Amino acid sequence: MNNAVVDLQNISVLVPLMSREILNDINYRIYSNDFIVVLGSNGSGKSTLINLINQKILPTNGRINYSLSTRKKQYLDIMTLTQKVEESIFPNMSVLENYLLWNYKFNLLGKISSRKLTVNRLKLYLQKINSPLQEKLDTNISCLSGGERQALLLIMCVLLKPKLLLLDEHTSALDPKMAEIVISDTAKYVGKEKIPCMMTTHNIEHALNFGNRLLVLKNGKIVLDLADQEKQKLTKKDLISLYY
Amino acid sequence: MNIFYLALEQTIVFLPLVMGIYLSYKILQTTDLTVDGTFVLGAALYARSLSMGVEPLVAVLIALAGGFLGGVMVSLIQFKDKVNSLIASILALFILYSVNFQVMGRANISLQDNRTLIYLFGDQIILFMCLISIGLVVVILSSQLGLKLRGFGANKSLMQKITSNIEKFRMLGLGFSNMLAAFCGVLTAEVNGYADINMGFGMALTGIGSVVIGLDLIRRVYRSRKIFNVGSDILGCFLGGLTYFLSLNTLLRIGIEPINLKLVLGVILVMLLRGVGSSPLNKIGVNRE
Repeated sequence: MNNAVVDLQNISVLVPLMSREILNDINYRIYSNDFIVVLGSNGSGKSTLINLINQKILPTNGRINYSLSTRKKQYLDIMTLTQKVEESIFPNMSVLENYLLWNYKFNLLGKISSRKLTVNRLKLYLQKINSPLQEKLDTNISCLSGGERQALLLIMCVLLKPKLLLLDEHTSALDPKMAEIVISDTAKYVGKEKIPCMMTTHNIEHALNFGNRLLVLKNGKIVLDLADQEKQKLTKKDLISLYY
Repeated sequence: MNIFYLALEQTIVFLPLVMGIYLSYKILQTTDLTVDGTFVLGAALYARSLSMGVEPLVAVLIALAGGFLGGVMVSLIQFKDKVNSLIASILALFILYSVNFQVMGRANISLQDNRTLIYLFGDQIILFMCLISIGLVVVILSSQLGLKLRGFGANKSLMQKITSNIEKFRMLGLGFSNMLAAFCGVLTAEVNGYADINMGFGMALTGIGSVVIGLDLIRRVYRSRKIFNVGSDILGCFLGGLTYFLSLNTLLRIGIEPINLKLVLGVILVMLLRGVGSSPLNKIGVNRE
């Protein structure tokens, strides 16, 4: 197997004062062609794990090694989508303006030279996947539905080609049909662009159908860590039993 | 008609300040009262420079730079949102009062014996200067920087995630905003013929009132297909200023005592702002800045 993109070593996270351990001595590695699905009940530490990796919070103990790029500011290469779409959009600005702002960091690094080029890339991509968003580039993003916004954010993430994509229950706030569309799009894009991805979810069917690795957390500990064939053998019953 | 003409004149002088407040209040979406101080700072720097024999155009540039620095100062007080924007601007205002006194050296400087802009170029220079400030705002807001400033206003924490340094946008935005206020101070000193330490009192409030009323007015009359339209927004600022000065002059004309003027104007502003707050446009919740 190739090198780990992210290497978590003996990670613990404690809530100060409450002396409750959210994560307890976690050792885990994310490899470059992984699509990891993380399951676990509420409070099991899923979101904390995501926030640790995108450096929103620091571990109480242990360390995380990244080998994402040679750049100093590595967090630039990690993108996170959560169920709170509002956190990831600029309200009352058009879809196109949102996209341009999202592209900002890459402008700084000189990857994309002109605005026109950037815009064309989005248009071409939307055409290629025949997305209904094609017609809505000049629409106020606040007028899009939650599902459309999440789909758009996903497309933007893919276009920006992060070195690591973190999805924290990104379909939780969507209706079943839209959630299905977004999740299958996710799997499609991630596979095609070969972006390592870690996704948390409560949907057991999604956990069974998508991804090549499965991680189950319980009370801040890893209770199940399966890959490829082992994961495919798993049934819904096995997973539900893990919650009890 | 006479009142209208007078109000039009006053609005032209006032417009840079309204646009400055538009930048901070609508684009950056922070409340910045510092303009009260930087307005005086602009006038003070201009008047003092002139009285020291500096060329008028150079004096204008000095005043603009001073205003910009005033804005930078507030942004440094606010740095990383450690201090609430309102408190930061009141603090800056507090500091600027002393600074303005130091700059002027006394409470009032008359420009009568100096070679001023109007003396050199005639009255139309004021209109010309106002057009320059409009041009500046249009250029800033239609550039990439403008997009980023709006991004800063729309979702600060997301901007922080994307760029990792948003303080420069706060600095530039508030800098330009206060530079425009200083510009307005220069024009006001020019038209009045003097700079006074207390001339800035209530400017921020009046400006915010003008912006809110003006933008609401323009949205009722003309609904742009674009979500963001610099032109119509600036026209809105202009209409807001005009509304304010029309009511001011009407009040003076019908014989309100100048002492009670602020009371009556304040009440009118409250009613207008509350009226805007309950307009159906606000309830839709979309297509508004």
